[in-house]
Amino acid sequence: MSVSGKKVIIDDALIHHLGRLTKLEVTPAQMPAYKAKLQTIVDYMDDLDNCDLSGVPTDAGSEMTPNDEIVSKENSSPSLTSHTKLQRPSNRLRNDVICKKYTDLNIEEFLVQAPTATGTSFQVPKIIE
Amino acid sequence: MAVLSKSTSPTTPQKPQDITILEAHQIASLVQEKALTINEVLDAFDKRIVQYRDELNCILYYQKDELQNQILSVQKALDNGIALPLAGVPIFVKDNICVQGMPMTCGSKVLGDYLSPFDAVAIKKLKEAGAIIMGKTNLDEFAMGSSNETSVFGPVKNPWNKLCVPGGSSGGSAAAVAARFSPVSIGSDTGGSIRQPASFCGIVGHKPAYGRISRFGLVSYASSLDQIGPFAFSVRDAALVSSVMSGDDIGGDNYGEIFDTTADAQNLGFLGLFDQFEYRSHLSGLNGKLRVGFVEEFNGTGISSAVKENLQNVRKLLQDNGVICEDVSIPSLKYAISAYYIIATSEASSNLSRFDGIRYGKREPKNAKTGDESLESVYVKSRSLGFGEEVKQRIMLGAFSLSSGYIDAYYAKANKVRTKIKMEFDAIFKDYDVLISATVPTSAFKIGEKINDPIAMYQSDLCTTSANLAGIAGISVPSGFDTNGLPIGCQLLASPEKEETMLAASCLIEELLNIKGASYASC
Repeated sequence: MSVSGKKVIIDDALIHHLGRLTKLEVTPAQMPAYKAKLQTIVDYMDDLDNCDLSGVPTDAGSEMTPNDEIVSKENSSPSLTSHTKLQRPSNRLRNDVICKKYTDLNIEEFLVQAPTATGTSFQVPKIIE
Repeated sequence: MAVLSKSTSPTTPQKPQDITILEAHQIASLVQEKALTINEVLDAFDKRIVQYRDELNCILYYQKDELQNQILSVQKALDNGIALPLAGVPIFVKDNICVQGMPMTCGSKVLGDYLSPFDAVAIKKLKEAGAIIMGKTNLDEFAMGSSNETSVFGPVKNPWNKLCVPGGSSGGSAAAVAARFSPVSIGSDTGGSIRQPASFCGIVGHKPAYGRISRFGLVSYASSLDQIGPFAFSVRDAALVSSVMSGDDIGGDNYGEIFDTTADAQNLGFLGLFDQFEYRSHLSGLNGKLRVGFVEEFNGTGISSAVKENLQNVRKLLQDNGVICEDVSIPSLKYAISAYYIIATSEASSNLSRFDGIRYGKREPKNAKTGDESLESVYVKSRSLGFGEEVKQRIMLGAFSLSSGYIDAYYAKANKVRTKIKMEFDAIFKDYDVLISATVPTSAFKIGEKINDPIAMYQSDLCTTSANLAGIAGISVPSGFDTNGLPIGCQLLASPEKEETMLAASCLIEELLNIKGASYASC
């Protein structure tokens, strides 16, 4: 894949940057294998540049509307939301609220899975001395 | 290999000498009518599990003596006269789906000794229908793989040939059914992870339309693509189990209204349709004849000659039986694998950020080299030592696709391609009831053959990823064997509205090929 007409090169700096973003350590011994594999995959994905995207709405893939921004089928762009046979308004995401199923479990049932817990909290290393 | 005679009668079968060759609906009928006890059923499957478990490595957790509570609960319901569609049917579950009180590893070290505190909605519905949840099956780590070789617990062997992979990522669930450890198992399908192993193992694998079955309790890999579904010996069993698992879920991320699935799924009548085995009347009820499109993009380069020949045979059989078969082209499908891997890994990089050694799973308390005990160090060490190489690679690829400077060229573009694919499917489904292709370009490959070649491995998903991108329904049905005796499957795809027709067409293929009974690997 090219970005601004330039081929993307997976180098040490980019791998280290991704390691920081993902909180994953990349040792010097692992570096060559990571670079080679990611470069192979990224090169393979170059073919997306050849896909004719005419007719695809410019906002396709970004229609993750919350519940309060309901889009009707007639007005929505053809996308994942449009294959419903329902004619009534539809949306993709539920409201961001705590589900009852979670509240059926008590705190102890969650804490028992934690590597370290104290009282009613997960225990983490000190951040501020 | 055992070969059964075709069963087209809805009547309860006679109790056979070998219970493990029965289909799930037959077991349920016999248990319901007290011709079989639940313990007799479980004992029969237990013998095979004990005999072949270590060889195949498909089971991660199974404790027969812990099943007593489930047995008592089902028996009590039966004694009270409650009709249970899956009465006493043993079912294994992929180890990325929560079963209360059972360990869940996702095939990874990172979850440590995690025990699920609740049942996934799909599991809850199975239990309510009388199923006995036997245990958990092996899988590619976090469902990331196409061969079941990335599990920290080692590769699963294909029951048809133990030198070969069973497919992935739900390879353990597929192998468990093919080896007759249970008549049904449950998997998850993000880019073909049910259909591909079903094809490799000679059984049926159903990926219902996105949202038809709740994802609540399924560990998320790529939330917009993940779908729970069943493996079974027959289409009828797969439809029955999907029907049981579908329906409303107030706790999940999928709402019925979104994809018009959960609410309507309960009324789709999978159960009624297959209860009386009336799929032919469903097909004859269509306006005119069944119209099938054969997807050109899935029948070109990379498809083995054995698979092509097999698909041609399926086409001829359908044509000879009055089905309209035509070639169709969906040009954007050639970009499906690239779009899929960008979207799936992007979602994975976000979803798997929750595994940080704090709330659950394994924690590495400090950096052994530097002695660093900071929170950042706990995150980095827990994740770096907990995840396997394939998972780490996909998380980094996803982070790359989403990162500043690259998001427009990768993630945003992949989503546009996804929409394009969806639009082209929508257009094709105006003219055709069902699309057919091979499920996988080849039969099962050797263990180790593709593990170091990511592109070759991704090509295994050539025919399957597009269904997840478009949210449509898919199924793999056994359709023959290659010259080495390894199974081949054919894939049927349909819009969510035509999923019932897809299942009926699958029944037709199953009957015309008459190889349902041959689906049992000899182990």
